[in-house]
Amino acid sequence: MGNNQETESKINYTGVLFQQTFIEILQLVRTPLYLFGIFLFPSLIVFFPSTQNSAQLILVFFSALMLLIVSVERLGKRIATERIEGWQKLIQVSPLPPSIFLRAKIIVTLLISISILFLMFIFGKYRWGIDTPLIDWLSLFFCLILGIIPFAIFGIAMGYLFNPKSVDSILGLLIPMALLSCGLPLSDAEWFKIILDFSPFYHYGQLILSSANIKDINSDGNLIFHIAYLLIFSLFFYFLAIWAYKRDQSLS
Amino acid sequence: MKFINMTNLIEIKDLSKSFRQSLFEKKEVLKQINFTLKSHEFIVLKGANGSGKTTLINLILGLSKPDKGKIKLFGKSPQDYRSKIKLGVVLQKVSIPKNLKVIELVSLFRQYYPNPLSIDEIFNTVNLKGKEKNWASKLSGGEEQRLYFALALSGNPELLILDEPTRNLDEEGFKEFWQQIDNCWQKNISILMVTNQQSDLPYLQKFGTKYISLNNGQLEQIIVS
Repeated sequence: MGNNQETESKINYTGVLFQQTFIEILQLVRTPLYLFGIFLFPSLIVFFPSTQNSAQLILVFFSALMLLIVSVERLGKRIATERIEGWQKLIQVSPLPPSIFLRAKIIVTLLISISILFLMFIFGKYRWGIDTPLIDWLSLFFCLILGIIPFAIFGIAMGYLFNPKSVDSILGLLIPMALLSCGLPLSDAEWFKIILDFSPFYHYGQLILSSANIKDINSDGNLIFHIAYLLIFSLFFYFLAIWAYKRDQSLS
Repeated sequence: MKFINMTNLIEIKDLSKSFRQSLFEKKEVLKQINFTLKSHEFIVLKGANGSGKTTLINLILGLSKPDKGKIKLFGKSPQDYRSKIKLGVVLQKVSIPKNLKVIELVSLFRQYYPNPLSIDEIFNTVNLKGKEKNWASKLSGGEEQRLYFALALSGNPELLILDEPTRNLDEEGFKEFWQQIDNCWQKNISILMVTNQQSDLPYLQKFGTKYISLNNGQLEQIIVS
């Protein structure tokens, strides 16, 4: 028993993470219909008529929406399904650290998100002819990807709190919430501005706008303030996810 | 005579667990349970349906937390993933991803352990040779149960915890299963098995060092065969 530590040191955790990620990718590739759906939706932007300015706005808007859907749906629904069906139970009785199990899922979600962004940026550049320096593309890319982290953590929490159908419903509610509170000029009322401060979608929207460099549409310039808010939301969702995970264990 | 170092693989002290039945009512499923499983022991846990057998197994495996008392699995908290390095488990109500092949699942599980059995050894032991490239979802009930057993053996365990392992087995699978248990027993693997199947009894007499029974939330009838 005392040599548990010694035997544990023989486990190559990097190799385990690699293998776990590979299995996640294998499962993804073997569900072609899901994969087709994921890449079909962003491809629809080619049918939008646009000018240089509106093209950039549509591109940014669709990219953020797609990443939001993928992060919540991919992580939340998948965790909920595996939890309900019993695959996670089998994993929990093995010595696989839960952090590796989750990291593999996050990596695959990031890979999907990156692929979607590449696809959309290619459409933006070659279909709509958006003429922006490489540094602006990169800045937009990193803001879109990094800003989605709190929503991905939120997805994990939902996966441990609800069943797969409820996660779908939550996502259905999240999209209109995101549209209402992402910073579109819907109202000048003071109460609306106060509500916006408590919306992670607003801060995500402002972060993206600050990097998108769209003519006539600027962010409010408080970049640090929005990053700080997104960090606070990440922390809040992180504790929610830990609580949901422990709650799921005590209920099982 | 072979010397066997009898260390405690499972230690349970004053364990209690209750579940809320309604807003004001709690049912105590396990009351002040004390139990130890040492190396090279074969313990059979019996009890009527709803007596708390699966609850006890879930607590030992860290799938849920006790209200009171302490559990140690290989000297560690069962919530600690490192406590499962030398453990193999066959559970009820689990599933495997349907779009993976048998070999992929076994290879994945082997990676989790520091001293896994070789792929050949695993497939030979559970008699799944020739089924490596089959989809896990296309296996018959008996074959699927053998796959779960393969996953349990993949880490070269010192302890097997088996919850109703013979439930879905056909006649051939049943005989093979007991042959595999015999092999494990020969390799000094300790076993904790939950079963209520009458058909298991003749086989159990060959190994069963202890029978314990859960009744009204308490452990009873420790019989040494």
